[in-house]
Amino acid sequence: MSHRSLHFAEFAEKCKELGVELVTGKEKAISQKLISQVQRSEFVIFAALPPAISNRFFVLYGNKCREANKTNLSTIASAQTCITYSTDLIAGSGSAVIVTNTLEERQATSLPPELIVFCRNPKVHHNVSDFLAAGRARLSPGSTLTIVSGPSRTADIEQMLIKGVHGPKTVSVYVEEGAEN
Amino acid sequence: MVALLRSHHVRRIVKSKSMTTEEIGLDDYLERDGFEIVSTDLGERAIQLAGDKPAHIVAPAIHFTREDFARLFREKEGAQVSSDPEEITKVARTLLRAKFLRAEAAISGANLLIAETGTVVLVTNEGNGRLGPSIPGLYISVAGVEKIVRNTSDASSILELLARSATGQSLTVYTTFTTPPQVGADGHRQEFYLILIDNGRLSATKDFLAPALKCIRCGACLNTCPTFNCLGGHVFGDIYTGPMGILWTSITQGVDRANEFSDLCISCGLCSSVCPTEIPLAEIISDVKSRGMNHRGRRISEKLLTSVEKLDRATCLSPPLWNKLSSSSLASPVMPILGLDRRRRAPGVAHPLKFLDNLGTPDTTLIYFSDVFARYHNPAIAIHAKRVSNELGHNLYFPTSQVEAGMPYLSYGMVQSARRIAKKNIGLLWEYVNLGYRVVVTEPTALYILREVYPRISPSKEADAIASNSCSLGSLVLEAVDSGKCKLDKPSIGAKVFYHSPCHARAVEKTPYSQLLKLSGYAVTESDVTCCGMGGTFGYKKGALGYDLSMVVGKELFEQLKSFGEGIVTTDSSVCSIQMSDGAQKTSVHPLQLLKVMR
Ligand code: SF4
Ligand code: SF4
Repeated sequence: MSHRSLHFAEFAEKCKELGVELVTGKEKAISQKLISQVQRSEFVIFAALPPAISNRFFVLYGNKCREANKTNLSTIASAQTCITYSTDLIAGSGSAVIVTNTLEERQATSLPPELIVFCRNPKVHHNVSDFLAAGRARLSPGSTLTIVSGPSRTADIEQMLIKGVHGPKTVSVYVEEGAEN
Repeated sequence: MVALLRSHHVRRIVKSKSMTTEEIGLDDYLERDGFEIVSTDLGERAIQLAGDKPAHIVAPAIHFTREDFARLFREKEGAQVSSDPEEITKVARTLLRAKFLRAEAAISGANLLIAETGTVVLVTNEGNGRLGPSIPGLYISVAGVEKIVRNTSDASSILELLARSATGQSLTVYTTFTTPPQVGADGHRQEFYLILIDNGRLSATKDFLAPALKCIRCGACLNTCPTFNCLGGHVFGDIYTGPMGILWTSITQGVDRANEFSDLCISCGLCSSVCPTEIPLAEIISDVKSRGMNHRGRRISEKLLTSVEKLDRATCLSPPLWNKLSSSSLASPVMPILGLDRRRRAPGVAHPLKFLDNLGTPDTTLIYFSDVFARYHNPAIAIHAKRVSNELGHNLYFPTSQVEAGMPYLSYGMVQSARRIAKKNIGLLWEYVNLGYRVVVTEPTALYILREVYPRISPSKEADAIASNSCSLGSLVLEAVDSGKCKLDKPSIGAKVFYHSPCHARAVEKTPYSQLLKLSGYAVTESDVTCCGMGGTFGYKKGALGYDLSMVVGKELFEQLKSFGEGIVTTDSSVCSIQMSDGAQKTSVHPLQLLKVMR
């Protein structure tokens, strides 16, 4: 097995532990999966998703999706699902790296109860240190980089683990493989 | 801060967990000035509604039950909620969501500040630290100066440590790197202020507290501390609680304030052994205590307990006389006058150990470092150590000019005296180690001292060499068994044994005795309590901060001993054995007494 696939296997293992739904597949399958999610959800917000991907949803489902940067806080707060984008995964902690460049994108990836992270040929790093050492974390003014490892959770009540506090209750990662970049 | 908030016409503020704002009493201050400041961390919110203070730096509301949570949200927020944790969390999400959406300012702490890029790093599980600063027009981060690191690579090593130790999971849910100013989609800028707090930190860089500045607030030392686990943060600490609380109270409020609760540390050493940033907590705590000692002078009990060896030497002159005296009804009224608890008996003494085997070559002879118990009180331990060594094919040589290991001096903060003793023992043991001899111990505290304490209080290459050439006799046996050089006899197959592993043993090595007993064919029940409560000589002191506390800490062990029923009780620590006898009326033996090695 190559390094990458080794790391990916570890990532998948970690996702299972964290209760993160992981779907991998070719372009068609993943796009089908995304479509079915948009169909199912009451309202979807896109945050930091490449326009080429989000645009085709607006054509079909324009009445129940919005782009975070083109709407307001109360619309974002009422959404059921957020679909966002990631280029880097971290195997050891089952995390996706999400970069947001506006306050609205940060709100959109925080408020809705469901978070779907879409990735196209992501880079899979072994751990956080490797990721930070790879120089792919551009910490430039105005942008926020978040390493998300599963659904938000708390252990504050009698040390019982409960999912879905202030952030998403469910996190899914859809990895599209083998596509041309 | 008030001026800043006023100039931005702020009234409602959301705050995510930050010990630094606790430290400076920000909430009370802002509330007095008419601001609404809402803690958004679930546990902290409950604390806030109750008008209480956090009991633990990582789990602030650890002392609340689910019913407490539900009652608070019902009574203070008018919510309809049962005591089901899922439901409480859901209700809290809804209630706090409303606060997030209309806040005019967000305040957070910072786990790290990256100098190179001007980035605030925040680690949270609940997502409040990520959500809070994404909404209002003003974001203020309040952090101690020690949180500043140079660059992302310095940050990443700290993040790995933090995640692993705090909750055992490999990474916290959200690690957010915010590089202000953040902007809205329409181009408006969120205003950002960073408030750096000194409050004693910079002057601490120049004194004995400096290592404490490496603290990443992971909470591991709190979770492992036996007395903290019994008493909780309201007794053991102030704003900062538990072992790290002694250090951080010293930094932020001075050693005098810290010494109001430093007595609760019973010097077991476990905190130092779990700290991911390798802060020598137990030693620094000793220093804190010693500074308090200079102010108040030593208590009579402390004088007595640190003179154990001198006393032992005197009483050993006539063991029968002393044993009669100490167990007679005359002794118990005397104990309190000496500051000792009348419910303890002074341990009996025997004729002191003078001689074991001859000194052979380094290949054939082990050097025995006995500490006081095996030497003056229970030479049976030394005799069995000799037998087991002989069975392994070694002589056990006892250099008589060795002195006590010196733990009580450290427990009571008498670092100078501990150092004097360290120098004596190092000087003596080095003569052997330098020639290639290995040092063995039977008392876990003695090993803890050789390995962890001497190299710190009397740093030298000699101390380091002794540290790396010392081990418990049990681990030598296990090594020989593992390499197939010898076997363990099965003396009485199936015999029931209860083994308690002492805290000082766990602070330095994985205890070999539980495995050795199992390999010998005993049916071993192992206690899973972290500490028996005796804390060296701590449990001899009278009253609440001594005997009583030691019995509270020991309660769980006593219960386990009772439910164990008939069988052999064993522990390698002399003080644990005294505690088990006083607290549960069980006589115990050293595990070496139960082993028989065959070549
Ligand atoms: S040495 Fe033991 S008792 Fe003292 S603070 Fe550390 S863990 Fe607690
Ligand atoms: S002192 Fe060490 S173990 Fe305790 S909280 Fe700080 S970093 Fe963690």
